[in-house]
Amino acid sequence: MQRSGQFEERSFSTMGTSTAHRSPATPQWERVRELYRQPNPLPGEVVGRIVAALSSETRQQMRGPSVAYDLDALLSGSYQVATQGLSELLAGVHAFAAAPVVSLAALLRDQAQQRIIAAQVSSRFGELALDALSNTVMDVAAGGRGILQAEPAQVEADFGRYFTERNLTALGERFLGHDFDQVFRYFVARDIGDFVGTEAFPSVSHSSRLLDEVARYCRDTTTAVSLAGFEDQLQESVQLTTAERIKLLEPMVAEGITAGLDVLAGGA
Amino acid sequence: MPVRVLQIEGADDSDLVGLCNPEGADWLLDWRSPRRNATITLTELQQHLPAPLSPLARDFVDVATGIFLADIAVPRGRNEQWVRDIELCLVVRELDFWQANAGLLIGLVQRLTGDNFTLAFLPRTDETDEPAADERPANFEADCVSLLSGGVDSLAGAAMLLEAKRRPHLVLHYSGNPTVRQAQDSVVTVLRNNWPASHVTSAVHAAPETSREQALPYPQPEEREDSRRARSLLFMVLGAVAAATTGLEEVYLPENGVLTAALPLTRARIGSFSTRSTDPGVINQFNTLCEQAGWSCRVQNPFIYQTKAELISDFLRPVLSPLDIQKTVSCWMAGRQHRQCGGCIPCLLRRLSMLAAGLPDEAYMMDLLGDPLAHSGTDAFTNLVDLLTQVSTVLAHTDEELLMEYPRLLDLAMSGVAVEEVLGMLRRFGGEVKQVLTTDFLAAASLLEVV
Repeated sequence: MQRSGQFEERSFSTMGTSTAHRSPATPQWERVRELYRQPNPLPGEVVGRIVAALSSETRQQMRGPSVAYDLDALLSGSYQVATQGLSELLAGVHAFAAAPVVSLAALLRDQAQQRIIAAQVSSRFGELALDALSNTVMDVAAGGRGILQAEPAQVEADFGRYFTERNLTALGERFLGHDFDQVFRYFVARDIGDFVGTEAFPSVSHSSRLLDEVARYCRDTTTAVSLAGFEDQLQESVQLTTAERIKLLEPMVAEGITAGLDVLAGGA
Repeated sequence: MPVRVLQIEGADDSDLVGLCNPEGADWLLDWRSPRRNATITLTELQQHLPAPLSPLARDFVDVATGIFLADIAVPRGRNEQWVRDIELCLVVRELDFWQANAGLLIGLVQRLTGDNFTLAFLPRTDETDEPAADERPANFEADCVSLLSGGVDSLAGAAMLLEAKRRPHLVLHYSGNPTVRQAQDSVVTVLRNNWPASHVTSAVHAAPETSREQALPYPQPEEREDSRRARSLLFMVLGAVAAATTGLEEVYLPENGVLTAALPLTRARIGSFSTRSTDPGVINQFNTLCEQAGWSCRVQNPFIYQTKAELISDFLRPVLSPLDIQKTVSCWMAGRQHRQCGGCIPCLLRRLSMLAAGLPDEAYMMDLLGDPLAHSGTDAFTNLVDLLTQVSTVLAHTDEELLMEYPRLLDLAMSGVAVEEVLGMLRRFGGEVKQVLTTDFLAAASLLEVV
């Protein structure tokens, strides 16, 4: 059987309805792919090598304005829940059998999308951060009770408290963890398919396991990133206009992403 | 820097210079004058309508055509460079309407393409080619419009309507791809042979046209963007203007639930890497635009909760022969090769669904399912692996876990879709794939770890 032993730039064909592109053809990305040739690669090592392979342009894009818009929808969401109440906020939203956690996540996701479209700042990393926004809401608003089980009062308390207890930075830190989870699964997913069917990854269950491990590693490791110094700024920002809030959030996103990449680089 | 695309036909020169600076445009578009670099032929559609298209309906067609051509003219980059910034300036008759609804249209196009689109509109000062009334026999009274692509799903939609004794006006878009056109013609013949006199068919040809000597520059075929994410806007517009001009309310855009849900198979296919051609949110936004136009027609997809195999079993197998059903074309590469490729996602879905529905297997350029590892390292192999990854995920996880795995489900929820039913449909699809692989394709089944 002919195996793609060396990484090479494939011809760029769209493949229509659904398509994916492999990582750039650089020696650094080839070092990442080397790990996919062996069974059970350590997720920290995979992530560390990916960090080393990232170009400065990609690092810049990872902290682009659309990521700040996604974070903004999350933080303003806590403020809205705390000040308006969940029932008023979710009036007319009946997602997934009216489960309040799902409805809240859907609403805040939609708000972020609308603002990104209005600002014309759509980007690949903004799309990944949109999923991070959704998962952060479902993660923290469910309060460990299950996404479909949590009652409205519990959701209101668990999500609104980040604003009322002056702890928006903790919400931002959870978002960063989910963002790194999404981004690094994206980096792995675009190459790992080439290695399914080999001894290292005999089936898609094996590749999915690595993706899950990478996601968990990113979330756990980046808990070391602290945004605590931004709390006063965030508390004040929630009452500003969207443009003003984004201006305040962009440096925080940049600092958080940079610090997170520094932590994740350690796995290499 | 955004790519600037400007429609120049029909605009006043001073407006062009003052508002859109044609000198600075990357591409100029024209689909009417002798220097046109694209064509759109509405003759057949207009002949089947009881009245001429209104100025606003003609605008809808022009705006969708301009977006369709800009989408093709601007190539996407790799990976993070996939998202484009496009400034598009279009010439319209009902300037107030388009300026008032620009935000809605931009949101729709962004959702469809994933790009950053800026739209500007100029007033049309020069009108052309209004068809004469005596060219419109309109001797068939349609009671709905259904869009026909040449694929399985739209054939099932037409069959469903015709078996229910409806009288659809079937509208096609000919893009210039000869293989797709052949399939569309075959499907039209199948429908005519099986349900004569109970429907009418109109084909609209819209495509770049650069062969003429005076034609304005436009990218050559090999330089054009293949993804065609904006095409379904043109498709919906053709259906809507037909319905609005006839006073009809229903416009069907039939597509199976798996492609409608458009959950990215893996994170590597997030955003518009996965087509959203029948995304319920896009359809809602389009229907709002129709409402703003004062039209009562609404686009709807009858198959949102059904797998492709189910709609073949439920609507096609009871009334058509396997040969007739398999005259359709699903392949993304159709026209570039003489047979369906067998390696793109539409081919994989088609093959698995045809077999799950009990139809005979078809010939493809590659037997990816039969010998997957022979194609290792190719895009086709990655397609199969990513498809199986999603099948494995859907079958192994709870609803709550799937909401975290596929947050796009939240977009569907916001669009009024019953996510519980979508997840049920996806699990039935997973079951179909698993059954077909374990019965017919053991090598592929081993990648799914079911043997």
